[in-house]
Amino acid sequence: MSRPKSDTASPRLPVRLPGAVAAGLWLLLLLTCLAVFALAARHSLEGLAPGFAGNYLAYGLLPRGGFALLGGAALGLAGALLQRTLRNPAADASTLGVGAGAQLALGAATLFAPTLIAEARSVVAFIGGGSALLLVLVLARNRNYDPVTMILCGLVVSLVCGALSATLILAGGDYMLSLYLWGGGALAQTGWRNDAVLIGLLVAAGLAAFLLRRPLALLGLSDETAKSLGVSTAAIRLAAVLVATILATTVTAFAGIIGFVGLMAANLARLSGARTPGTLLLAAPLVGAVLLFATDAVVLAIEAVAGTTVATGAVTALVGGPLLLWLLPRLPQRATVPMAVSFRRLAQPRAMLLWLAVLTFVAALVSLLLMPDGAGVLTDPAAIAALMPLRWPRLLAGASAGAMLAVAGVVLQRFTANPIASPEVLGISSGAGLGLAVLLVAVPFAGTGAMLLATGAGSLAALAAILVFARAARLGPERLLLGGIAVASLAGAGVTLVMARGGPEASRLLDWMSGSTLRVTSSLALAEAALAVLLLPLAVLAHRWLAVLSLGGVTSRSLGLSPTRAGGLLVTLAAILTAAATLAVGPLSFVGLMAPHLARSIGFARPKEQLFGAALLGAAIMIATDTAARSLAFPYQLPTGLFAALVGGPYLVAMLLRKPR
Amino acid sequence: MTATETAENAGSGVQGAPLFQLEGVGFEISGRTILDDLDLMLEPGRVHGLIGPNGSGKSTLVKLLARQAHPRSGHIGFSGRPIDAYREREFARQLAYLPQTPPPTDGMTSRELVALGRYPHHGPLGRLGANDEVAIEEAMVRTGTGEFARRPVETLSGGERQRVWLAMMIAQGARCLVLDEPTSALDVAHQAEMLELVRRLCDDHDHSVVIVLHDINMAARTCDRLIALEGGKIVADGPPAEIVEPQMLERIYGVRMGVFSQPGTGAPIGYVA
Repeated sequence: MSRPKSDTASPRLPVRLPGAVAAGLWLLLLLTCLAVFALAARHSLEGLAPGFAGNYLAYGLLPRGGFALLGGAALGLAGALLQRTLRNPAADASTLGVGAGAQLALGAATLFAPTLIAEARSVVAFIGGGSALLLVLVLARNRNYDPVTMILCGLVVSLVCGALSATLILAGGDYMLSLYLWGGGALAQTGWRNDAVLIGLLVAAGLAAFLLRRPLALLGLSDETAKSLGVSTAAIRLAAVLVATILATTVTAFAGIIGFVGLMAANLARLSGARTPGTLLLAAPLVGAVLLFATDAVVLAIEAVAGTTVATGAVTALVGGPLLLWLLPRLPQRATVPMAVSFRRLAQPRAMLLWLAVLTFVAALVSLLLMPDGAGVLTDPAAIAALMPLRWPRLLAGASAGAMLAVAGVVLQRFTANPIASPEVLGISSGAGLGLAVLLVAVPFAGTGAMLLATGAGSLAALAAILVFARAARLGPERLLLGGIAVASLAGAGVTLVMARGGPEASRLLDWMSGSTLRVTSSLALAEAALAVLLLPLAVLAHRWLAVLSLGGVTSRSLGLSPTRAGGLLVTLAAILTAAATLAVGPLSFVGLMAPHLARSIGFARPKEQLFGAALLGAAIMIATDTAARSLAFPYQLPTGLFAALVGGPYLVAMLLRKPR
Repeated sequence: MTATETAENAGSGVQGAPLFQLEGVGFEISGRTILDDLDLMLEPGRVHGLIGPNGSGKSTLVKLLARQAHPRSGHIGFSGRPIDAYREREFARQLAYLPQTPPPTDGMTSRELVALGRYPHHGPLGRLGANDEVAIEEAMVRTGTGEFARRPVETLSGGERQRVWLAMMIAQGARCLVLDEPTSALDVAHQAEMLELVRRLCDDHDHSVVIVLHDINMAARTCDRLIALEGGKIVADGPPAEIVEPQMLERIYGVRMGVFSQPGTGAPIGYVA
């Protein structure tokens, strides 16, 4: 056979530099940054009292430089280990959810068990980060550890953890906001204690990596080959992942999430000529150390000159985001086992749709008539009349947004044939967040109208970026997801950078991110309903396209349907639906992930039925979560996003427990 | 084939024109030549077998014929018109293509998959009409897939699944079928069954077939004409009796091969000497 696949499937990496030249360049960069660091340090010591300046240098600045080097090395080693073990060049503590998991655990511990934080910070971070990684790996297992799916799962888990963290911060009030500041990756140190811990850890991890280097080389081929050569794949993988997780979560415990350093370090080390696992495991930590030190030196210089705080971790993410964008299309695509699809089909889908419609209607009625504290049903007409103007806009906006997100989810999951695709991972909502962040930096007390405009503009910019990216990659579904992931990561880093500045804009941004429907006005609700009425029929009209496209590009073309054109239209529709919904319910609800799935599991197998079923389910879920968020902590209002994430998280777990056929 | 379909299909293409006419067709991927200045004419109503060693350009050639890829140079005519002159659904009504590895079917039942073959006729918005239903029924009867119409395609065996895909191609109502190694994952019995189906479609229903086959003897048994590729060039072209012949086979595959006559039928059988 003469399939021309060998040329297109293999990762296209550009010419590698000769090792010696590359090493020289890295050394040059290190020396330059040492000079920058020295200058910035001198600048910030000027004008301090002589005794204090000496102390600040010895216990503040020097440990900070040391921490940047050591932390960078730790993250670089963790990245190299993860990439090698998982055979995924985009693997990194931040892309696999480890950082977000650790951050969530630390946030929860700060709020609920402060003594634990004081005594066992690293352990808390390890438990959080390790659980998140475990979740990602188990989710990805169903798809044969396909690199793209793994990164998708990592993003989803990160988003859930991020939503929960944001909610914790909101619940904790002002003093928790400093947690977010820290979450952006602040390297400031007060003494040498953290450095000492990292040195010890790096020595131990280096030894482990040295022992693991040969089995890891075999693991790079395939599990079958490695096994047949006598490698215990499970044990080696567990050991390597464990070491990587300890390294990454310890750094997170000390300094917050420092995005993409491991990703960059391992890939740049490879490009610098480190080919074998042994040299890679040696070179990646060195490159990581230089990278983080360089970033922090620049951040120090900016802080010294401009006098504001900048989160180092967010800056590395801004640098690493474009690298991810460049790297993702070059990921090897593994032959994926299709995920467990439910073979259930309803004999009478129309009857079930009718039931769902009734259910949604009843949910809406209950939501409108429930007592404020949820203890009973309102009977007093005066009370109903008083509460109605407060309730119906939220209800209508929530239900419309839920239906739109659900339909966007069906479209994306069908088109990409990937059940983890959802509006959240397209980066549309993150783009909306970035738009809002930019507005709030410029005008901290902007009004609702301006906020709507900003989120809308951000969503459209994100959509444009994704489409440009996907078009460059010929709009393959996988490519499209990758574009979304990269946009989501970049926009997320931008939001973190704004958030880390603190101030009133940060708390407003947090409020929006946690998905509160509290501020929905009646005009916004009517606009949402109008958009839903206008856009949802378009998706139903396209149900045949969805059926054909789910068979992939070749078969679609041979049936006379251009996947590029139809896919482009469908994705644009999904993006507009998402942007519209995001205006009302914030960026995170996971309705777009859950509702299509639930519809499928109930037995709506055909695209048309699934679209209707998911729309109704999405509306019902949104009504239910919004009502619960409003009633459970009465008189306080919990953000709807928290509830949706609380439902979405366990749903993900339930999904992974289903065995593939 | 129903009367409406014949009428539809007669609309495009030129009567009496060759099925495919290739002139100077070349294809390359990142500097490597896959097909080199190919001239070829295929006639309607016959089964054409493409044979040759791995990497000879067979699959690329069928991809060009099925318009899944476009040649870097040269010209391809299909039924008397340039192949690119057809609109998408119009082309799909004329030619059906089965790739080497059919895609996963996302929980669809056999009948639902076969029904998708009618997409080129009804389009995104049209309703599934009476003649669509007839075409689906007929396709399933012809391929013997009616008994698992309601079963998910993923639960079928390899041979059954290939027959369902063939049924979809038939439902598409195209006169020309292009198949890329449809038997590579099947055991001998199912290979023979599949190829007999293809043969019958040509004999009884006037379909034209272009099929890539690995097994030279299966190809000789099924096809009216064999076209052998090697290194992107046509090295042999003719009826099976002329191709299955020791010198010719050695030229195509680069190993010494012998030929004997099948007892009973006298058909030539090639083997590695």
